[in-house]
Amino acid sequence: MHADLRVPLPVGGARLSLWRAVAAFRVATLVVCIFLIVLWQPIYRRPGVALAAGAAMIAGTAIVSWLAVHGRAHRPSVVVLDIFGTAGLTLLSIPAQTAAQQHGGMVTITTIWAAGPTIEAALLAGPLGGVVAGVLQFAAAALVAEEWHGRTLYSGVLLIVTGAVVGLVSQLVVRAENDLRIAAAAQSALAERERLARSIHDGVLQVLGLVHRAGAEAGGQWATLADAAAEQETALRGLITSRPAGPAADGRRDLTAELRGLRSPRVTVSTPGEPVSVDASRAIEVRNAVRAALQNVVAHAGNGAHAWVLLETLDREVRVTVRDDGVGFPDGRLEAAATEGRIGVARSVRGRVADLGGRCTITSMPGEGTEVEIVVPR
Amino acid sequence: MMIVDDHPIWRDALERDLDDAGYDVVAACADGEAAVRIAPAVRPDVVLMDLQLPGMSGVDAAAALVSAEPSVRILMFSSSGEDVDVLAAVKIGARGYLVKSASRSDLLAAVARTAAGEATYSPGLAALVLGEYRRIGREEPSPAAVLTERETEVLRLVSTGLAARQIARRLVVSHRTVENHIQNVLRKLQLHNRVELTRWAIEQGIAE
Repeated sequence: MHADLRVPLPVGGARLSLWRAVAAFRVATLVVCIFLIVLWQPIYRRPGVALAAGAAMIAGTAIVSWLAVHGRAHRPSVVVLDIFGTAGLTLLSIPAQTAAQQHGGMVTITTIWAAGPTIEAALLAGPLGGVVAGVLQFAAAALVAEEWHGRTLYSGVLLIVTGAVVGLVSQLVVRAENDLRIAAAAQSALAERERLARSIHDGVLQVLGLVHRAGAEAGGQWATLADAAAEQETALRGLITSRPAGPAADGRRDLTAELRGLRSPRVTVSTPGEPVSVDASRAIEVRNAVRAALQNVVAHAGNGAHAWVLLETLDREVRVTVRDDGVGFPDGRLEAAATEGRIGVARSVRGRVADLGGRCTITSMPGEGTEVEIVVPR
Repeated sequence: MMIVDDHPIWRDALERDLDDAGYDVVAACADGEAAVRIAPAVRPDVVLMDLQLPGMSGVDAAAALVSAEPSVRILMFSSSGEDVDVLAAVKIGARGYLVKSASRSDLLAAVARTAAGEATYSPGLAALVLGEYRRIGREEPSPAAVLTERETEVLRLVSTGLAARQIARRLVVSHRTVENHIQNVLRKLQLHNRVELTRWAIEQGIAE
């Protein structure tokens, strides 16, 4: 799992809440430690060392908690310093406590307060960071006890598990929060887009449509203006009606949307009303084949040729028909073009369709336009 | 004639065109509610209805007009290309569909056809209707909603941009025959839709 060691400070959102919880934890455990240090003053070997350690813990807690509350503790320098500082204070149990206390199972002077840096490391660097910091704190406590017995092992394992669990949970929380933010952003972008689409539709598109219609009737240079208006109208309409691109979650795409993307003033695309869900790569290849056929119309059908694209769903196949009203060509010219080495239609349309396991027929008559029929399995 | 379009510039342009062509424009409304309210008073034979209207949609307004006066002939038109709304409109009884960018002569021809009770298709509408028949065949097969081979062929040709005359030449039949096929296809779909609606109403306990 990916951990974010470097995020802009101060941190916010779920991260900030987690860090504030850590600050609360450290202050609460500090109270317990100070209470024990004061309580046990008479029985320590060197009470002064324990008091000094207690003072250092207060200072450390103050600094780390202040940083955490303000969202500024989320950095390696703070956490690493805290880990080693805390481990060092735990080791001060060796001069402070008697040998019997150390080996007899008395808690170290930092006791539960020493779990703090483990949790911090887990927040900073995920489960791995938590486990490493937990092992370090456990090692310090084990050095004090100088021997392995059930209780130290038990608390050590607990500490390490805590590090792992907190690391995991904090990452999940942060990720969930990110996902939520992305979803909210996408939703507001969509709402904004729809608002824009409405106003474009109600204003600009209507005027462009009227210019197209009136200009085409006036003829002459106005016809050129009408063509330009029609082009912009189609482009703008495509923009405001297209959904954000990208494959559907299940790796399939709506072929109707892919083909509608090919619309232009000279290309009419007609599809069924319901989405035609096709494997994503297949949808793209079909679209590319159709686009190649349309480019061929532009190149060979003559000026002003119009093309129509029809998408149909059959039982287990989809059929796309591309027809143009251009000049057409006599039978056999395509084969001649292929043998002459001009690839054009042969490779870009037929090749693609063959790769998809489909079939492609091209028919034409001089003066009657050309018809390309593509049938591919769904 | 009645015109329903929420854009004043279009409303005026259409009214002028139809007026010039000799049609008697009895009302020009800016929204569906007004159209439904005014229609019984002015009794239009033909309604030119924009698909996208503020408030009541063009489809709902067309449905209300047809149920109030089944003989009214509605020609839908819109600027945003063909989508499922167009299919919904012809299923409830609209006689055809035209894109707004159509030229003046195309518009007048379509209005004349609609007035004569004929169907007007755009390639997009033909593809939608074809797709709808295939969907019905898959999901709710009904002997009443099946296309003959010839009708399928005609619809496919309309979908790829051929006009009725070109289709007639290609299939070596009369222009009239092609027109009949085109009209039958729409009539069958509307009939099927009515049957489905009635069945649904009975199932829901609304009608008997």
